[in-house]
Amino acid sequence: MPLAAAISGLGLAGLTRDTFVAPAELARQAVVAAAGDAGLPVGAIDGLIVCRTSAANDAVLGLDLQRALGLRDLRLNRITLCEGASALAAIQLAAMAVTCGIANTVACVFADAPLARDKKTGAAFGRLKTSSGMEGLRYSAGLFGGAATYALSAARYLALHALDETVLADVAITTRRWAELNPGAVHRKPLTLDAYLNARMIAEPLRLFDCSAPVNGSVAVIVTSPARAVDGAQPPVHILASADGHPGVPDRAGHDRILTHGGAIAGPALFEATDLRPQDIDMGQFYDAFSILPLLTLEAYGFHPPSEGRLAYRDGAAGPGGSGMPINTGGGHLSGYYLQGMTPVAEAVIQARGQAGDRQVPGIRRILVTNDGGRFDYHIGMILGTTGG
Amino acid sequence: MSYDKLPVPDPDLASALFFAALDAGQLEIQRCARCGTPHLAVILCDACGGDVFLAERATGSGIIYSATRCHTVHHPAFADLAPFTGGIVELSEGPRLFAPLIGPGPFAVGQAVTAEVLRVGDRKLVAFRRTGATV
Ligand SMILES: [Zn+2]
Repeated sequence: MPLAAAISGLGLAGLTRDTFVAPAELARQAVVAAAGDAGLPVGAIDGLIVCRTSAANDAVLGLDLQRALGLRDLRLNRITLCEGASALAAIQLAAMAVTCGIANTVACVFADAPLARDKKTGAAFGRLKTSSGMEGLRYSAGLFGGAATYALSAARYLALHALDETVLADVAITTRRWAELNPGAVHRKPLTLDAYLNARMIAEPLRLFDCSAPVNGSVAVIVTSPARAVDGAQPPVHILASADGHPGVPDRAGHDRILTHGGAIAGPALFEATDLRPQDIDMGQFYDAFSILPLLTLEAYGFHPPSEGRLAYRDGAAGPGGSGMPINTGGGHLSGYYLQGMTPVAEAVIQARGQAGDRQVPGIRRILVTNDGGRFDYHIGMILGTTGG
Repeated sequence: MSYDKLPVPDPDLASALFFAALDAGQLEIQRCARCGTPHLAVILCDACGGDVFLAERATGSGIIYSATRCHTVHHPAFADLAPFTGGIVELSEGPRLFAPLIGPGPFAVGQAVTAEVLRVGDRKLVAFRRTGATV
């Protein structure tokens, strides 16, 4: 059964590196903003899906938020946990609920405040972990935080394909050019190759600008039926298809876990469901917490063969005014802001509505949005459209 | 350099035999009795569904599957070590594991390495050195 759902409201809260507000309050503010954006009273929400994060990890998160919003008689109240892919997991679940008549107007919200203690990024993402089992050995090896684990993917990718770090630099620099056009982006100063190379090394081959820009903030969207969305306050953004791909690759010879991207599973499902091909996609909003990720996404989805994802960025092709498919037009996680899976969702909604100001890409009809979580453990893709299926 | 404060994970159900052997100073793999697939920590063989495994002493030789030299410190045990290298080693028997890479580098993908069991308090941990590198 095809999905029949659309995003009718978008709300942002916080998106600051200077102020700490508790994630629960940021989430409440974002849901109120999303309902307002959709032209709905908060009380019209009959479904609530909260993305669980390390900062928003209370088991009663959804109940607390329901009470904080004063929502009565909810028909859906859920928490999603797919690490970085939790946002699309929530929106996909909302779309299914709306399609099946379980709920009519579902708010999906992600909130995080990693910059609680100080403004040091390392402190934000490198919290001491208690660990057990073989996965816990990563901490014995000193591999705390996402940068170290994605550095392993990047190092292997560059070595296998005999490429150098300029491939990663192209992603960071192109993404920065989009951020220069986005008043909401964290890093807006033009990024030269020299500045990229001279920035401090985090985990080789990843330097500072290969890593995302964390903020305290929250993003919420309202998912409803296409008919209700058409009557809403904003142009509807249709959810044409959504698919998961969680590879579960073993860690042994003959498999390549750290380079196996779930887009290779989700992509064919998405294209079959929509009767589209990669060349029919007008824009990519890809999870780019680290610069290696868009390259692997492009290859997994069949935009380019393995090792050639870099061609999407050659000569600024994916950047403003470029000759290729525009990618991460708000500056992504790298230069825009890191709110996990909601960052690419929010930019896709803004572009699909034609509300992106100086960075608006004209003539957008189909947008591929991707979310990645864990170390290639979770992947979800979604195709959004300015018109229904 | 001192490795005696490195964090060591607690065993879980799948890894109980691996860590018990390691704490006794041995690097062991668990080979599926039905299909021969090598594992390090396993409850059910993902290749054949078998649930009987034969412990086998690993040779301790392997290659670097990937590695990264880390320049930021997130844990006090690494404060004196930075920049330090961690990676994933593919044992010659096939399974892979996260491990500290110690001694002289560089540690490149595909580089041959040899296991070395480190004592960490009352636990043990396996690290790897470039094969042929002197201690
Ligand atoms: Zn087996």
